[in-house]
Amino acid sequence: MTPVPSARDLLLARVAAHPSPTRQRGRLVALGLLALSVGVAVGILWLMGGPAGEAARPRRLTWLVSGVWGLFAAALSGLVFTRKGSVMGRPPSLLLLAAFATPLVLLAWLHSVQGSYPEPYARVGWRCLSMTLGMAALPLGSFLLLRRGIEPRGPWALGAAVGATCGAWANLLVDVWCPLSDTAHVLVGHVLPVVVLVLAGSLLGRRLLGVRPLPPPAR
Amino acid sequence: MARASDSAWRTALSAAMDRHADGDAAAFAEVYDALAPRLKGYFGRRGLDASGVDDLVQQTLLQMHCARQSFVRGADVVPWAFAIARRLHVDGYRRGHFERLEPAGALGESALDARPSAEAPPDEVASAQELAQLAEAELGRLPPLQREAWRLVREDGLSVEQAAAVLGTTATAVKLRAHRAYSAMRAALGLLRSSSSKGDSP
Repeated sequence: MTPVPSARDLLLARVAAHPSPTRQRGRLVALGLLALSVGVAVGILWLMGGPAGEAARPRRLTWLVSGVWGLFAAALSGLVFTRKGSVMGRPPSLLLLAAFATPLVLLAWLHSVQGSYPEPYARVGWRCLSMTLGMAALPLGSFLLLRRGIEPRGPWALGAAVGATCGAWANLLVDVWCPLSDTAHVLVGHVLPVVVLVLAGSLLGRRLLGVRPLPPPAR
Repeated sequence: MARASDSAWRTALSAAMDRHADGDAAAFAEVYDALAPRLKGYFGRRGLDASGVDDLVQQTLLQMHCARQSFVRGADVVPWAFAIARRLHVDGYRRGHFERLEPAGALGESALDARPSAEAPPDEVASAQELAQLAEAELGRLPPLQREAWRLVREDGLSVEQAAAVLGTTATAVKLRAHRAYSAMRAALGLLRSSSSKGDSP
């Protein structure tokens, strides 16, 4: 008579039959996708004509606007992606606060440089909006794919925070390109896409990132 | 002494999960052996039947295997495992995969676990049963956040910090919730004692 396998044996057999990426492999894939995302974002900037010219906005101001925003984006990334020795990272409430503060900080920062130089022209901001969304889509999608179904706590908060972080980095490049700081333009072209990314990240994160029961093994 | 052995147990578990995250398939057996009994207790205390408990323990450990790439070197495995367990449990109820059973008998692994010894006189057994039933009922009446904090800290044996990591909140909030739950239960049990002592008096 064949002995009945124990729950332990069944699980270990299932683990052996169900390969999952190791830490090294996960890191390699993440770095590859990050490099691809940066390449695509820089490619979009290049296709749109590169950094704003001196005639449109003083070059020093362009680098100041982008540099300070880059520091904010780096700090936000540190908050969202570093895990401080815990598998689950920061509490969902903190991630959510960071996600919803990002568009407000962006609005305040770009508003603070308004009037410090003559605006070269007026635009609604549809191109800035499209560029931001285009640049942020790949890193956000990559994150959702890489961490699909493995977040046990606040997947929607993590999704929102990652959406905000991708939007912040995309804005860094868009700020290099766009010489406008008019409030109406900033709201449509720069802040709105970050809000869209936060909401999209939250909805998709809730659907994709959260832990879900796995299907029973095929018999 | 218990604290030192618990710390050694946690370090060994973390090291085993580290090896598994690095690709050592055999190390997962150690993770299973260390966590399965605690996870069984976790699900059992939440009113699941034996098959539901086994299914969720398997699911929790399988999820940990699937998510091994996200394991941070040297991190504490217990809060992560319990957070996955909690998510699967909550999700299962929402989807109606299993129904809640009444806690198995008053002397099961209940809120106070006031199990008298086998040689205890019948009146002591009855009193302990009554106390445990009351504690369980009182626990059921508590707000979910307080109940969960109490259960994680008092029944599942997690530290306040670990419970805070499972619930995604601060250690202070967990302490507060557990203390409020404790006060509510103490008040309820105190009422029982005072009413029974009044009943005893001539």
